[in-house]
Amino acid sequence: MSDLFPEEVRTERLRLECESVADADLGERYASMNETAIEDGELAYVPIEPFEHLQEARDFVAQREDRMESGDAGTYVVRPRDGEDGAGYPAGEAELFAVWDERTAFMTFGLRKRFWGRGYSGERAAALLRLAFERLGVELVSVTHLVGNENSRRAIGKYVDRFDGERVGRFRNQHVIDGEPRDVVRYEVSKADYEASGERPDCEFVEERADGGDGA
Amino acid sequence: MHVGVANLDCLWENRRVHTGVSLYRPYWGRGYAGERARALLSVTFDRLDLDVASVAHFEGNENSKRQMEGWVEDFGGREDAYIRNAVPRDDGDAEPWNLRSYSITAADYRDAGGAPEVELDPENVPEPTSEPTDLDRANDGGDGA
Repeated sequence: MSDLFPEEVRTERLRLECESVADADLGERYASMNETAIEDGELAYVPIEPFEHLQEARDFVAQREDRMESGDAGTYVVRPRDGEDGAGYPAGEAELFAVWDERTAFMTFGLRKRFWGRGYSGERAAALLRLAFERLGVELVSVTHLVGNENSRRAIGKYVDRFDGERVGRFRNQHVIDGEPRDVVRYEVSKADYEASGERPDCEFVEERADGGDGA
Repeated sequence: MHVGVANLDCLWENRRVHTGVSLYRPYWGRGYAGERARALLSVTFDRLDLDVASVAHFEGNENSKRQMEGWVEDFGGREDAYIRNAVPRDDGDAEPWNLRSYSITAADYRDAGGAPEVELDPENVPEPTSEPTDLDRANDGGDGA
């Protein structure tokens, strides 16, 4: 496993855990993201389809394991910690991708609908920004959302403000979702922004997960 | 002879093209870049029927900025963003380039009256490709007319 990205990131209310096919509970992953588990509108703004069978859950975890192994990405399943409603459930997916020759990184995040509105996105983003600037040493972290995705716009706007970042612009026809070209809005937080903000997110980087993934 | 290389990279699924140009120094300042831009916009919107043309220059390249702003404004386009650390430099050994990017939509182009002076040769349709233009190879093969 790469030294660059810790195997687990702990925040006040969340655990971000890297996954492997060997250790993951694929049945749990399948049950949480098959057709019956997905609510209306839940995936409207993300390039993901519900799992049709267990093999798709396996492929999903395998791809994420490969990205983590590559040393270019921190790839984590997000679980609420003990004491939270839905503790232990795979509530979302968080990734931090490094682009070394640009000296930048970018984040992606998806959160299951029943966990929306709790501020989890900001809590996860803060921890990954700290990882990017204090550990990876990149100069800039960017994030985008699709135009029309008001929940993401609000969540991103909030943490970009907190870390003194900025909205840099809107790009036309940047992504294709369900065959339709879509505009995206891009935000950036630079290392200088992060330092000027005076924020130091409360989180813990765990290098090797000793418990095989069932701890809280 | 040729005086530079122009490219039109088609992102078919995105219904967008990205255009670029590089001219040899003796041919700077003649308005060739803008004239080329009008032709490529005509290809994009009149022939390929795509929705957006985008273009960008490195921050600090004042010549590119000037020519680009000129024709982007003529066609009702806009500046989309200033992107820091957008393009690696010297395999990551030097500070990456910052980019300023612009776009023009098909509606902008039509509202501006299009580029009626451009003639598209019906016999010579550009070949669709998803590969970015290989500038080095194009420059090496500089024996065309």
